[in-house]
Amino acid sequence: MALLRAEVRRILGRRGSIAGAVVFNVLFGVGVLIWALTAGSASGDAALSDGAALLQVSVAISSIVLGAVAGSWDVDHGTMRYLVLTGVPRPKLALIRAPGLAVAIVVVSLPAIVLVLLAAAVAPAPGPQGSDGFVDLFYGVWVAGIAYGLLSLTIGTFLKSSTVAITVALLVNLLGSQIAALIQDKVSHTLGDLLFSEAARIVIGREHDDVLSLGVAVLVLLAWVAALLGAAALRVQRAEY
Amino acid sequence: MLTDLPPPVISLDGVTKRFGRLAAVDDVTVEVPAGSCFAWLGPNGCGKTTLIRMMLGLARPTAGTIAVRGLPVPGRTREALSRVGGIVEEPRFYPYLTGRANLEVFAAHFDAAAAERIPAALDRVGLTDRAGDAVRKYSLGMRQRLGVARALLNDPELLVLDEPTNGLDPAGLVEFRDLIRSLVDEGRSVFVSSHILDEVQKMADHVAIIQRGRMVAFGTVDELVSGGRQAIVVRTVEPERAVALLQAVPGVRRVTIGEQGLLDVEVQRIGDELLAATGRALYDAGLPVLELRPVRESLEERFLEITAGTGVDAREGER
Repeated sequence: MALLRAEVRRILGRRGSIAGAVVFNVLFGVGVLIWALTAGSASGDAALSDGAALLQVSVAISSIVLGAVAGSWDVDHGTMRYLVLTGVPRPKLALIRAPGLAVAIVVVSLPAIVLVLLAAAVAPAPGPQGSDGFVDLFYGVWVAGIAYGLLSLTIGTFLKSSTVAITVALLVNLLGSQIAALIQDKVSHTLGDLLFSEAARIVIGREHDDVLSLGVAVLVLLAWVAALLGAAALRVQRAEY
Repeated sequence: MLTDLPPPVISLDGVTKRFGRLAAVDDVTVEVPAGSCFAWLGPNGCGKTTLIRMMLGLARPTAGTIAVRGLPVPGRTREALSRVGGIVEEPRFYPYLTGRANLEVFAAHFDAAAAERIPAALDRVGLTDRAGDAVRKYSLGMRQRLGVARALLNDPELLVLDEPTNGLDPAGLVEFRDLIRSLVDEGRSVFVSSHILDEVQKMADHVAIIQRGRMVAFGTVDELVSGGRQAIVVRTVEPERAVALLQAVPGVRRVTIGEQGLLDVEVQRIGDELLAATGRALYDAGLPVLELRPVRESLEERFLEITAGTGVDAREGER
């Protein structure tokens, strides 16, 4: 726990990137709130589902940035060698970043989530606020953030510059879904579904693809996460600082 | 060259590190005695930091073996480093956190006692008053001191400090020397790398000189210095006559007349007996001795002498 607390402190202490992520997500939350207040037909359900859909995108983007920075910052700024010098096993130093990042993602998304909840509460046509909207808002947003954040975390671990890591992580995530779609279309739908971006899409949306059931998609995504974290741990284990 | 040494806290045996065809560290074998201050002396870019990185398990040697506190690195690195503190290249911190918060973050990686050592560590390096400031506001000298405080968190038996006096002002240098000596007095071992010869001479018990990745000399400061040229400077009224007299004194190698008639009496080894014999030879011959003093090379002169034959500009090593 002490290591995790230290990791969270390191990540949340980078106030520039944290504040940027919070503001970025809050802008989407404010947008949903304004829509709920101004559109006469807005319902609580719509505010929740639309807000969740928007935040899944914004939180995923901010998590990509946070993950890339979390993976690369210590090498970029020369503190990694001092972490290694503490004698803590290197794989542990790499893996502790994952829960630390997850905590940070929850923190940076919470204000925007609260705004969406507020929008749902103040919408003029509340409608039946089913549990699906809340699940989309919390589960969907956080799973999206953590999944894409962990992918970026691994990318960041392989790069020595945070700026490069952010750029590469954004590109990989942007191109990932395009590549998956191409593979689904030109090579094999099943193979395309097994890629990270498609498995993540199914799990985040709680969908049932033609090929992958939600349960299998969860397993595929977990396998991806394990492989990514394993790669990050191996990278830190073998690197010279 | 060294005699009666305590057991080594660091043992290097044929350690080599190659980057492609370049040997950054080339076949270094040395044992660093425990409980003393050992200085690794050499010009910038000579392989000092690379060697330290290997000693601390941050990089792997291409060849050779390393033992720290008797334990192989790599191999039993975690155990070996459990009571080792270090600064490598320069002290790096989380600039957005305060000095104290930085120490807390690093202490979390050790046992619970590490956090309890923070106030004493800050006090020891004179940063208690500034511990609440963000590290980005620290000068290089302050970060060096905070680096030492961090290195003390695990109550180290061995401190490995790479160019630790960089950025320190003259008062800070004196304080730092005192700090190093106090750490040694507590029974800790200190390994310092430096290119500042004067500092090393004042701080270290043992010195190794490294040039282009190879160790070219090793010994106590006295041993290294005494291995160089030794002479007696004499001023008398008839220097030409004195030359003949002093040439006959046992232990004298050569006598030359320098500027303003000063005699440079090069000797094998300066000692009280030789100084007395030199004075007596002149006095017995009726020549008044106006000045007579021993001259020993400084470590800097010795360093330049040792490294002059390596084909590298030895003056790189000067401050």
